[in-house]
Amino acid sequence: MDSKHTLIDTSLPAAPERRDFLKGALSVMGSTTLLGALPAGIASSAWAAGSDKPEKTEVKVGFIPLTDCASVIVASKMGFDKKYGITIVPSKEASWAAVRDKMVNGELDAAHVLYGLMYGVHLGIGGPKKDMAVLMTLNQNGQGITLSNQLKAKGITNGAALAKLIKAEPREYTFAQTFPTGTHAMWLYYWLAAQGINPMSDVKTIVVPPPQMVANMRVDNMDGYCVGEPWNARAIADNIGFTVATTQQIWAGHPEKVLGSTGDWVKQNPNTARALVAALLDASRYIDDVKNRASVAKLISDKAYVNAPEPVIEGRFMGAYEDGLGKKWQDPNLMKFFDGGKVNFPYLSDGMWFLTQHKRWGLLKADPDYLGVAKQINQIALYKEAAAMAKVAVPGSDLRSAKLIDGVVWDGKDPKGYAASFKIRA
Amino acid sequence: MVLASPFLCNREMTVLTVMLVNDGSGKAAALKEALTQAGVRVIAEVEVSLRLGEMIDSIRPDIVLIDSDAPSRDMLEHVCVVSAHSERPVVMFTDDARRDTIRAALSAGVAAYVVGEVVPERIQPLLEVAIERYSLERERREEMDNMRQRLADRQVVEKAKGLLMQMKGIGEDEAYRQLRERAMKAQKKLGDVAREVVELANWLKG
Repeated sequence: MDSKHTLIDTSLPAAPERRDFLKGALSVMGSTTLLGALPAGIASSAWAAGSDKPEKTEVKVGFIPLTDCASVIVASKMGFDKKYGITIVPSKEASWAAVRDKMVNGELDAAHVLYGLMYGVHLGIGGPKKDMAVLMTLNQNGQGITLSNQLKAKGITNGAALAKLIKAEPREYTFAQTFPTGTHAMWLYYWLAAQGINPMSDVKTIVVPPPQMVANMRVDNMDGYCVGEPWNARAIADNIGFTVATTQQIWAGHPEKVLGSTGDWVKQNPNTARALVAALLDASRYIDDVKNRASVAKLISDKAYVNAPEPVIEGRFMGAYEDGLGKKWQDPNLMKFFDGGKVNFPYLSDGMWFLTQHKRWGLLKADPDYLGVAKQINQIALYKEAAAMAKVAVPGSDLRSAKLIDGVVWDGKDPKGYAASFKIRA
Repeated sequence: MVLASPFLCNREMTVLTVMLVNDGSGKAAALKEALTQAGVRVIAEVEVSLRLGEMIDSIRPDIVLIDSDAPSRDMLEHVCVVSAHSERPVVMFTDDARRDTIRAALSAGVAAYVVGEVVPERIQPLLEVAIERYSLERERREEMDNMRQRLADRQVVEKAKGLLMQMKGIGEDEAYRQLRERAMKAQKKLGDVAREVVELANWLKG
């Protein structure tokens, strides 16, 4: 076995090279001359020959098939990356665990990733511990909680009725989210608790990959789930569930996905990181322009990206909501990507909020240094430089304030007190 | 499903029990064979389901192996976190000192989740088997791809030769020589140049 092992180790590196050569040859084939390979180099040297030249020009960015990966795709497809001397290579990933592992082992430079996950990895909750960096927020709002049509048939169409049912007819109620430390887990837990349901003891929670939510609800006995769009709209289109709450009803303007990387990667590639943030800011601005949204919905619906029918993506992406119970509305708090840059600033209060919820639900055993951790992860100085490059305004404060669905205000000023203030907790 | 290797059961590795999660890619079956041959006790091979957590609870393996690109890995992450409170913790194989092994395992295509307290030294040989198995499979896949590519190249070169012979009224050897020369000048592969010729000819024909 030993000799075989050596054999494999030495022969393996050759394989990717061969493949790369082939790929290179194929891409050159289409053009008439070898010049096809040059523009990236020319573009970057023309853009910046000085000290702010990107350390690496090809940036591999992971994403999960969800509507809110749009800015990564748009930045790459519409050439916003080239403007800043980089080439974004979007890489579709199958799980958040894979996104995390590939960032940690360097296979991915950065990723479209759940806010809470970044903080979880930084503190080593349930997995590897590695210093992480949040470069910018990619979007606000646009996730949702779906309940099954079986519950609807029993007359359960809101949270209060659900809470009553769980008390009156005890059984194992199962709710799915997408990652233990992630955003959907926190929205689901927060919403359940606001209805008087303890997510840790009154129901069972599981994790299901986003694209599989709908199928699992159809075949299994799942009562509800929290996930990003288009997978709540899809449940309605497939007639298996309805939207009991959007996440903007839980927190209007909540932070959602971020552009993440490891702390080491930012330290080693500060110029690339700035260029990446600037390119994504341009893309975010483009997406938030109403007249571009329909074409962006079409672009991301492709099999290579979200892989869902365009109409299922487009409705809620444009703010046109229908809850599956007959109620229709135009949502002012639709999924936002830019909002004049207000979406993208990596507020310390946003990051700290996830820590308070991790503490609330027992994922963190003790209070962390809330502010210290947030300052370490959220790259505010770098973000400001990138915002200047993309001519995007930055807010005056690193903290912001919001009143959540239960009437409690979060302003980031007393995280420890806030985390301890909830009656329903782990 | 219980599988034990009768003639290797006194090797120390047999003490570790493994649960394989089959995500439908077919890799699990090959891995099971390799592990069994190496004397690792694969006590269960399970399909992905929402009951993954309960299955781990009832089967109680030492280690859960899964394709590192399987979407259901996130389910296992949750099981890890949830059961971190229970008496029999599930932890991910993430011992920092072993980062190289983990990296190799992940890039080979396998992720391991350790159930309960297992000494890292005992996981190492098991992962080596897994890495080797996955690497072999990848190598085979790449070989297949290369073969397919070579076959396609040969076919298109034949076609381009034919076109040149017809259009320029030259012999087969001369047509081949001209193709080669063009490829060398352009620093391209012969197959790619041949493909250009064929495409151009198709276009000219309209």
